[in-house]
Amino acid sequence: MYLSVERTLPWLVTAVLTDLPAIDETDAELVRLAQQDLRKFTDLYERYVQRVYRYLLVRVGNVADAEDLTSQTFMAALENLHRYKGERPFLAWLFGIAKNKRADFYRQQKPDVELETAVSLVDTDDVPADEQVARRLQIETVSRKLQAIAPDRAEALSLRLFGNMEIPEIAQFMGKQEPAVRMLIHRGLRDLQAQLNLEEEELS
Amino acid sequence: MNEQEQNLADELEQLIKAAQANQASSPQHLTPTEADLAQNLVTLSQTSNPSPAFVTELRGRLKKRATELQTKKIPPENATIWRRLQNMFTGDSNMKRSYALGAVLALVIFAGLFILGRGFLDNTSSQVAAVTPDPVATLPSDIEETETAVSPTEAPSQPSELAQLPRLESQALAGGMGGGGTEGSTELDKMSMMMADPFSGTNFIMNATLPIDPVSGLVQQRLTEATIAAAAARQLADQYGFSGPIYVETYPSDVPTEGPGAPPTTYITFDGPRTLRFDPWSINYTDDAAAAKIDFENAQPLPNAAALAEAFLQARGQLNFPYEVEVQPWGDVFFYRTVNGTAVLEPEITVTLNPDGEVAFAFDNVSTDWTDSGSYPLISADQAWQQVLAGVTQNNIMYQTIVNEQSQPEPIVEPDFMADYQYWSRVLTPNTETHFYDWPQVYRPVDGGAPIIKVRNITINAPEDILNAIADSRDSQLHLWGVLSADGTQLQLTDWQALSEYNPIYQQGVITRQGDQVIFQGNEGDTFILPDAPADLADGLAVNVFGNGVRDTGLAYPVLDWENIDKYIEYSEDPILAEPPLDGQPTDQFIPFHYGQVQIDMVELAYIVTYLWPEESMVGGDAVVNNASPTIFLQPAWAFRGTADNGDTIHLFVQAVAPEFLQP
Repeated sequence: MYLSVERTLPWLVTAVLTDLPAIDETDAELVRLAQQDLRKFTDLYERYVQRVYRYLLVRVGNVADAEDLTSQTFMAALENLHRYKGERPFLAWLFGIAKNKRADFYRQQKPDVELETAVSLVDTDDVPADEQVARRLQIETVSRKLQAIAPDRAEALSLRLFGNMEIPEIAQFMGKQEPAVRMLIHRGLRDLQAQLNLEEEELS
Repeated sequence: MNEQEQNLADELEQLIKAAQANQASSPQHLTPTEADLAQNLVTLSQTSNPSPAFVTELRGRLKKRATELQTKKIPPENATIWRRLQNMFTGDSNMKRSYALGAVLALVIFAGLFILGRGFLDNTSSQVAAVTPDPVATLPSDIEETETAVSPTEAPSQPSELAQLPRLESQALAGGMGGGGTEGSTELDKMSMMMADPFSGTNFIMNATLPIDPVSGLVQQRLTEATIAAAAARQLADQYGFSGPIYVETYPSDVPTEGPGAPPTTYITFDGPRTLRFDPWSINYTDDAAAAKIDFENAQPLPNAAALAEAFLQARGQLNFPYEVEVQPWGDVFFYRTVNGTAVLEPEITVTLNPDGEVAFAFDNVSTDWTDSGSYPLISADQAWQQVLAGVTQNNIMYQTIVNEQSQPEPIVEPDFMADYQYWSRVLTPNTETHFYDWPQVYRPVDGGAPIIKVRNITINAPEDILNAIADSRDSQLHLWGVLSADGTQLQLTDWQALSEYNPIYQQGVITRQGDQVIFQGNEGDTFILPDAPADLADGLAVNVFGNGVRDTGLAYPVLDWENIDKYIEYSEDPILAEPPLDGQPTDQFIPFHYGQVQIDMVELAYIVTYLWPEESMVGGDAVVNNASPTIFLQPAWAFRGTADNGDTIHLFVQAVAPEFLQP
């Protein structure tokens, strides 16, 4: 029998690594609880670690850096949670940190991860090794091609498909209107397709 | 973007939504290659999961860091802001709650940062009463109240006697009052703030008489002590009716126990469902039994809430300062300290009552031991007004905005896509073997003896040497198992182990019922028995299951120590959110929100809480701020209150103390 308050509110512990859409009221309550007792921050972490990780993975292209930046993002969010005042949804605040961490990562002029390195960074889970390698290769390719298209389009596409953010959330996060975000995603997809086609042509 | 592209973009969004819900979609206009790419990217995303080892390792580091930070006690910020926000969103509006939240938050982003505390809501929505000190109430001598009444027209102190006060701008971010100022913020924050200045170009109109007085104002200060003496802790526990042993919360082994980086001592004592936790920053009283009766989503104020809360606090000697009491629309009772009859913006004590009038929570900022810093010269209200006219953000003026919901556009009606959603949290069965996987909470008694070990608020019963061994393993995640007591509050420990690795299970699959057993058949090929399965978990139901560990008990399948189950959602193929008709050409450009006009109807002095932090100390080569011991100042600000042209309520706070008496 779980007696603490958060255990009595089913919304609060729903989404351990789920893809369910975020409910802002629940975020607010989770944040409130975490601001009272930082040890409850792990509920927010469990809720969003997958989305943040996926977003960072497709933006940096390899597991090691994605894990490093995911760690930095959540550690910074934890340490600055008292500064979060609800002026924007928690998800947007969290992704803002992730975006900053990624920007810092690029500013540090880290050398590009070579394909061989990315392949070697496959972690161990239940997925067969060959499938993991193929997956990492795809991520690496998509990440690299996203860097070749307009930043706004790449960002919108990444947030929607890998960060699993909804259009209104992205609009708020990027400071754009919703139709503009849809357009960015569509154009981003089209540009990505063109980049992938270009690579295929070069390879052939 | 022309109409054709808009249609393509909309269709792509529908496809993404469907793909993310594992639903099929038949786009009419997108090219097959675009549709395939979108589908493949969704699949790629959904299969790109962080490794369980990484998730677990990071979770552990976060929890450890959280414990360290928790012990350092960030300044007592007003966590009830969320309750206030929630109340705003759930008031009398007929907007759908979720949309109201989104709509209001969207505007708030443009409208600036909220500040905490008094004045956030209209006084019409609260009951307010001013009260003079109770001469009978007392506190332990170590933390005795020293309120001194000073006339608001008292002559200023000699300038040489006056300490320099914190500026509002640093307080805005470090202390949590919010609004205005950019010092200490990240580049992103600064950019957001510049973009979000809602008063850029605003036409301010003064519709009130600017007061001439006061020309000086009392400032009070207190130094937060790093710890509470054991005797004072005993006295405080007695005042709250806790006669049992007092414990000290024990932190991870690498948290320093003394020096600038050491946390203050946190005391805790238990009495059945009641808990009292306190340190130099706060007294936190919780009654789980009373709290269980609260419907947090639909909380309403009791007619006698203020009197009940006052009686509770007075009986415990906690109201011996001048205060105003305010009952919030959701039922919480706030007590604000007053300085020369002017209330401080932040509540000093908050009390939450249940429908039976029992106190479920009481949070006291322990704002005692105030001393007078002196009477400071103030800038005039007119000088403050000139700062407002010269620029709110530029002059680091704090502000709060209360959105007028009536001025918001009609909400978009969206289908309740979660209406079919079901969720089950594990309810453990008393008198049966139960397994926990978690970090222990360790409390060591001040007067010696066996520690108290809790896991998820459940007390572990075991011999003292075992409890000590668990306490010594507090840096690790543990697997503990035993028999849960009949009331579900205690675990009679059978055995335990520190986990070298933690492998949580999160799988999608189907529920099947085989006799008395509930079986989960995962899509990844695993089959588990679910103990304590809910009776309404239907045979054949598609679900997601999260569990902490798997055990082989000799049955046909391993037992999964599950924690929560949620129904797999079948999304509609229809778009979830209907778009409003476009008003003109869509644009990529961010258009910041600005108030066109703000009319000020009231100007008065208010008191705000500001913090002055000690210098950093070098500990082991790292600069460490002694967060435990800031000096707190209550200082006056000129409050300009009015209404914007869209109906929003506006409060602006200009630092009133003359600039020569402020920190550089």
